Amino acid sequence: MNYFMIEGFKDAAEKFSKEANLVPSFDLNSIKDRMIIRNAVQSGNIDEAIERVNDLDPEILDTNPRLYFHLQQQKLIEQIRQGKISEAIEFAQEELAPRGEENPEFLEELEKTMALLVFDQSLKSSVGNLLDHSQRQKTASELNAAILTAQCQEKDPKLPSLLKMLVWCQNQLDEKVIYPKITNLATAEVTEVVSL
Amino acid sequence: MNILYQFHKKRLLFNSNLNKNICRHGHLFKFNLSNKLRYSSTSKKFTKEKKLEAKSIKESLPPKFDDGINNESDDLVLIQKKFGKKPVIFVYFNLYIITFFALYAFNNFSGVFDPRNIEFKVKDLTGYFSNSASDELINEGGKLENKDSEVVKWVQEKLHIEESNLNTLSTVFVAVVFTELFSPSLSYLTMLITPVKATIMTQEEHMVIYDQSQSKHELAVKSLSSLDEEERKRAIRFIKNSVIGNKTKKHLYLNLSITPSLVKYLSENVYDVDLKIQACIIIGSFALDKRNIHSLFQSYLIQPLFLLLSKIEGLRYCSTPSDESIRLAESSGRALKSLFQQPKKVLKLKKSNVNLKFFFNKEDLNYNLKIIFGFVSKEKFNNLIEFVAVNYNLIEIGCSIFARLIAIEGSINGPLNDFLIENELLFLFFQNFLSFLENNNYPKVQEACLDALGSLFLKDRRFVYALLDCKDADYLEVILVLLKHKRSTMRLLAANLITILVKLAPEKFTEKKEISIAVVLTLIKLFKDQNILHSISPNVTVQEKSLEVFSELIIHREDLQEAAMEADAILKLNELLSTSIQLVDECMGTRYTNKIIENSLNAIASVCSLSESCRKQVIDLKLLEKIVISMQNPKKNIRAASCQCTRSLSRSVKNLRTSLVENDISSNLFHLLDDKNLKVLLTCSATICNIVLDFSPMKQKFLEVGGVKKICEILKNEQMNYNFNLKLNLIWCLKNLICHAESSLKFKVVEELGFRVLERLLYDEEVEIREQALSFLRNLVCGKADDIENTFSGFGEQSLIAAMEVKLFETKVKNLQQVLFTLVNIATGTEKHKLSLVNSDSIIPQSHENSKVKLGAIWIITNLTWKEEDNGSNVSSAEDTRRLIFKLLKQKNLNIKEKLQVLLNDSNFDVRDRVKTCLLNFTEAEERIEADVVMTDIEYLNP
Repeated sequence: MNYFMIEGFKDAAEKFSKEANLVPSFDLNSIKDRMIIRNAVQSGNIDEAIERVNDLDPEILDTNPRLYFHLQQQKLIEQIRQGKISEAIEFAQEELAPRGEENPEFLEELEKTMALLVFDQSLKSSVGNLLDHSQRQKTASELNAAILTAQCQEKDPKLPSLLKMLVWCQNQLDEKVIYPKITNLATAEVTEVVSL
Repeated sequence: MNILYQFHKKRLLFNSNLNKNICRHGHLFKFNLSNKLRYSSTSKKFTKEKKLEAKSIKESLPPKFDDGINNESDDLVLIQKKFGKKPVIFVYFNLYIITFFALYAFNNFSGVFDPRNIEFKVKDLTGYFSNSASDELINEGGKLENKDSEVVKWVQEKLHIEESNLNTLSTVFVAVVFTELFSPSLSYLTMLITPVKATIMTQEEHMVIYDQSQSKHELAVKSLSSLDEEERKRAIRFIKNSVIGNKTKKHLYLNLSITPSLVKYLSENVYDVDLKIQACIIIGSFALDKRNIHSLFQSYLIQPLFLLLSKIEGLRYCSTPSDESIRLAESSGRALKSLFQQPKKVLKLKKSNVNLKFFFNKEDLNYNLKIIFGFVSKEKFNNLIEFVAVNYNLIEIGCSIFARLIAIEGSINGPLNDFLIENELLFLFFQNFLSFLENNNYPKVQEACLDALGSLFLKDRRFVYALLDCKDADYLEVILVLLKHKRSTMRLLAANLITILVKLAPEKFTEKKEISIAVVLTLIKLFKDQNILHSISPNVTVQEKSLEVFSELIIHREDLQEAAMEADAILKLNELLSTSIQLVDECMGTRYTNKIIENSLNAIASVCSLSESCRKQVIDLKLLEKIVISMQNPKKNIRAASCQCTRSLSRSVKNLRTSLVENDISSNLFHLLDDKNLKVLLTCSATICNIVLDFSPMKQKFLEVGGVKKICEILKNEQMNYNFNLKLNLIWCLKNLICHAESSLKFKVVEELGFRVLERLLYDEEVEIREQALSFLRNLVCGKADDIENTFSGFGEQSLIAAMEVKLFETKVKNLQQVLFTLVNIATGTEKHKLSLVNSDSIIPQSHENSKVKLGAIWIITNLTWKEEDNGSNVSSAEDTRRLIFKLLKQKNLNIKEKLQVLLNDSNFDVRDRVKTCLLNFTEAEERIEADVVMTDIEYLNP
C-alpha cells in the first residue's frame, strides 16, 4: 500500500485498499495531482508541470532552488530536442544564467547542458544522455519526492528498502547458518531446511 | 567521432582543472553589474591606448574571418553605432581570446594540425590586437607546454583577463573548436557570441537587449489593470509562474511596481477569489527573498491579508465551505507567514523606519491576534479550530504566524503578552498545543507547534513556569517523545524547545539531568543533517541550527560538556570544521559553508568553556591550528567565533603555558585589537584578559608587540568607549596585566593609561566598570612601597584619598571589598602612606554585614599598627610613627578595641582568626603608649 501510494499507483492503491479492507492513511486524491505532474514532466511538458506544482503548493519550487533549476534545465533540454535553438539560447540567458549566478554549484550542469548545442548529432555525443528519457525520469522523480516531502509523506517507499534489507540479511546468514531461505522473492518460495 | 570523444575528454580535464581555481567564480553567461564593472575596469587598461586603433582594427579584419562572422559583424556595427567604439573592441578582443583558446586546443591534437599552422593563424590575428602583448603571444604561443593551468595563467597575465571571464571563454571556445572541425559555417559561433556581447553591456544596455523579454513582463503588469477578467487572470497566473523560484523575476516585478495592483486585488471585493489567491501567492513568493521585505512592508499589505484570513471565521457557518475559500485562507496565511519569516529583519525595519505602513496599532494587533488565536485555541473562539481541523495546513500556518508574531511583538508587559494573560488564554493554548503535539498524523503541525512554544517562552519566563507547573498534563513527556521522532527536523525542534526550557528554568531540571543529556546526544547526531527546517525558514538547515542549540545548551554546563565529549562531539566538530575549511580553500565555499565554520567554532568554544578534559581533546586533535587560521578569516563572525575558542582554551593554566604559546596566539590577538567589528573586539579582549595573567609566558610577548599601548588607546578613544562590555574587558585586561607585576611594568601601564583616565573610570556610571577600576588600583598599590609612592605622586595624594573616601560609600559589596583591599595595600606602605590614611576623616569603613568587608577592615588596622621586626636604622622613627598613628586612631574615638573584641565571636572563621592577631598587635601598642590614650565613643566597625 505504502509502495502504491508513494509511487503514485492510484488505481492499484484504491483496489488494494478495497480488497484488503484498509483505510488509506492519506488522501488518495493527492496521488492524482502528483501523477498528473509526473506525467507532464515525463512527456516533456515542463511548463504545465511547473504551473500545476505552483497551484498545488507554491512553496515547493520557491524553497527548493535545486529542483527549480532542474526543471528549467529540463525545459531547456526539451527545447533543444525540438530543435528550437534560438529559443533555447534565449531561455538559457533569461532563466538559467541567473540561477547559475545565484548558485554556483549548478554551473557545471548548466555547462554540460549548453554543450548539447554544439553537437550536430546530439544524441550520440557524450552529453547526449541528457536527452535520454532517463533524464526526464530523474527530474520527475525529484519533483515527486519534493511534493511528497512537502506533504509530510515519505519520499521513498518502504518496500524496496525492506527487500534490500531481506537480501542483505540473507547474505549475512548464508555465511553462518543454514536456514529456510527465500529463493524467489516474487512468490516468497522458501527452501526447505535439510535437517541434520 | 573518436577525435570528438578525445576532445571532449580533454575538455573535461581542462575544465576540471579550471574548476578548482576558476569555474566557481563565473559561468557561461554573466550579466550582473559587478561583472560588467570588472569588464569596464579591465577595459580602461586597453582602451586608452587603443581607442584610436578601433577603426583600423575594423578595417583590417582578415578576409577569412570576416566572411565567417558576417552576421555578427553587422551586429557589431549596430552596437558600435549605439555605444561607441569601446564595446566593439571588446567583442573582438573576446573573439581573439576565443580563437586563441581554440588554437591552443588544436595544438593538443597532435597530428590533426600542424603547429606551424597555428603560428600562422596567430599572426593572422594580430590585427585584432596589436601591441607588445600580442607580440609576446606570438613568440611564446608556440612554446606553450601541455599544461592547462600554466596556459591559463599565462594568458591571464598577458591579457589582464579576470578569472570569471576565462570561464565564460573556456566554454565558448569548445564551440569554436567544433564548428571549425565539423561545420564550415560559423553559425554556432555567432550564437554563442551573443552572451559575450551581453557581458559588455551596462545595466541600461542590457535592458535594451532584453527589451523584448522585459516587455513581456511589463505587459503582464499592465494587464493586471485590464477590464477583461480573463486577461487579468491570464496575466496574474503568468506572473505567478514567473516569480516562483526566480529571484531576478521577483526583483523585476517589484521594480515594475506591481504591489499596488496586488493590494487592490486583495482589498477590493469586486475581484474574484481566484485573483486574490494568486495575488497572495505572489506576495508570499516575493517575501521569501528577504531583500524584498523592506519594499513589501512599505505597502499596506498586512491588514488586507489578515482580513482575508479572517474570512475563515465566516466559513464556519457554511455547511460545505467551498474549496476556493479554504484555499484563499491558506494562501493569505502563507503570504503572512513568509512576510514574517525573518522576525529579526522585521524588527530591525520596525525600529529603523516609522513610515512603514504595517505596524499595528493596538486595535489592529488585537484583531489580528484574535484571528490567529482562532487557529490555535478552542472554546474561546467558537470552536473555529474544529472547523479548521479539516485542513491541517491552516493550523500549521496559524502556529507559524503565531510564532513569528510573538517574536516580533512579544515583550514582557507588552500588549501581546498581556493579551495572553488577561484573557486567560494560556492554558487553552497549552491544551491545544498538547493535542497538536500528540497528533502524529501531521508532523508539520507538530513542528510548527514546537516552534511557536519556543518563541513564546523566549519572550516571557512566566509562560515557562505556567507550562512546567501545569498539573493537568505532563507536557515535558510529550516533547520528550518527539525528541525521538523519525524526522530529524522534529528532533531538532524538540531539542531546541527543551534547551529553551532548561535555560529559562534550570531549577526545574536539576533533578532530571538525564533529559539534558538526552538532548545533547540528539543534537550531536544532527550535526551532519542537511535537511531544511521549513517550519523556521527555507534557508536554515538542521545542521547549522543543531550546532547553535548545542552551544547554547552546554556553554555553562561542565557535566554536559563532558557528556558531549564522550559522545564524540569534539571529533565530529573537528571533522565538520576541517571539511568546511577545505571547501573554502578550494574556492567551493558558499555562504552556508562559512556559516557552518562559524557555528562549529562556536560549538567548540562552548564545549571547552569549562571542562578541562574537553580542552585537552581539542588540543590533542590539533584544532588550534584551524582556530588560529580562522582568526584571520575575512568574515567577522568567524573571527569572533575563533577568538571565543581561544578564550575558552585560555581558561586553562596548562594551555596558557603550552599549546597556546606554540601557536602564537598572542600576536594574532594583538592584531585583532585593530578589528573594526565590535563582536570581534569583545571576544578578543576577553581572551587577552586570560593570556596576560602572571603565569602566562604570552604576557611578555604581548607586551613586546605593544599590546598595552593599543589597549590604552582604545580605552582613551571616546568613540570606542560607547560599549560598556568592551570598556569592561579592556580595563580587566590591564588589571590582570599588573597583577603581581614588577614595579616598572605597573608604572609603564599606568603611565600609558594616565592617572586622569583612571580617575574617570573610578567614577564611571557603570558599577562593574568602577569595580574593575578599583581592582586595578588595588593591584597597582599592591607590593612594594615604591608602587604606593608612585601612585601617590601620580594620582596626587589628596585626590587619591578623597577618591577613596567617596568610594567607601559604594553600595555593591564587591566594590567595597576592592576599596578596602586598596586601603589594606596602602596601609602596608611607608609611614607617610599610613599617616595619610589615618589623617583622613572618614577612611575607616562603616559597619558592614559582609565578612570579607570585615576582614578588609581588620587587615587595615593590623597593617596600620604593625610592628616592624626590622632592626634597621629607622626603627626608632618607625616606632615614632606607629605611636603617632595609634594616638590618632585613639583620638578619633573609634572604639576599635571593643569592636575587635566583639568580632572574636564572629560566625566566620577567617574573621575570628584574623581578629586575634589584630587584637594582639593592638593591645601591645596600647600598652606601650597608654599614657596618651583618650577614650571616647563613636560607632564604627559594628559587627
